[in-house]
Amino acid sequence: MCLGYFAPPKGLLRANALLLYNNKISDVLIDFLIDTGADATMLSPQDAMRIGIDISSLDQGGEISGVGGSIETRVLKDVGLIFINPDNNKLELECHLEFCENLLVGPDGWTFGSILGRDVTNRFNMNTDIENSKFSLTRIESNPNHYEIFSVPLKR
Amino acid sequence: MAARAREYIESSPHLYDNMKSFGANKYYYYQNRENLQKNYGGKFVIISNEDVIASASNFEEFSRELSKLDDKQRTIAFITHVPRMNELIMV
Repeated sequence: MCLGYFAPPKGLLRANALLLYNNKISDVLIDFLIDTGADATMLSPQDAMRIGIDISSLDQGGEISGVGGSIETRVLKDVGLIFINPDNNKLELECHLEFCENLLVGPDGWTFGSILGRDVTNRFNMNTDIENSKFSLTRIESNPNHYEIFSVPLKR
Repeated sequence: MAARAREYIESSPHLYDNMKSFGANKYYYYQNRENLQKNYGGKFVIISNEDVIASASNFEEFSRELSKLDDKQRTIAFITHVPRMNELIMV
């Protein structure tokens, strides 16, 4: 299970993950907006820069359309998203690694942050408890996309 | 790749502390969102050590400000574009 959270004031659904790409892991957490209206997951150019990705070196990812019009994207290939939940009862970090064929990167003018789209969210049952402000994603085991779950000791 | 991920996380003693610091910076943003909207609406902000340490009006400025941070600050910083007051957002 991956834990998400409700962002005030209007209860945006969000989740944090590390990025695995080119056999390297970002040491920064990415704050994703859960967007069930988006076909694809997209990394904001600000997050890409924060991770140290040279956007200009990436392949073109094609044009995507939204409420505000169309934008050109770049693409990171063969990446993994690592959702980490601390399990304080076991003093472990529970890690969920979800593999993605493509992760789009938004253009310079993009201001909406990084987005977790349906290419990833559709692999999960989303459990939204608005009354108690709890949000979690439970993996659908029959979904054919590759994922791995592992735990590591919590180092404080 | 999973083995590599596990090895990295196991060998990163500061990862959990960094996650907590990132969470604190994120919490600072949401707790102070209205004030930040008044002062930084329409801008990007970089929050570190539970304070706004830089703001930028466009991507070029943001890029310059981000490059001034050391690795630790960059790792734990929460960055976001601050909506203007009463701005409705539809992604």
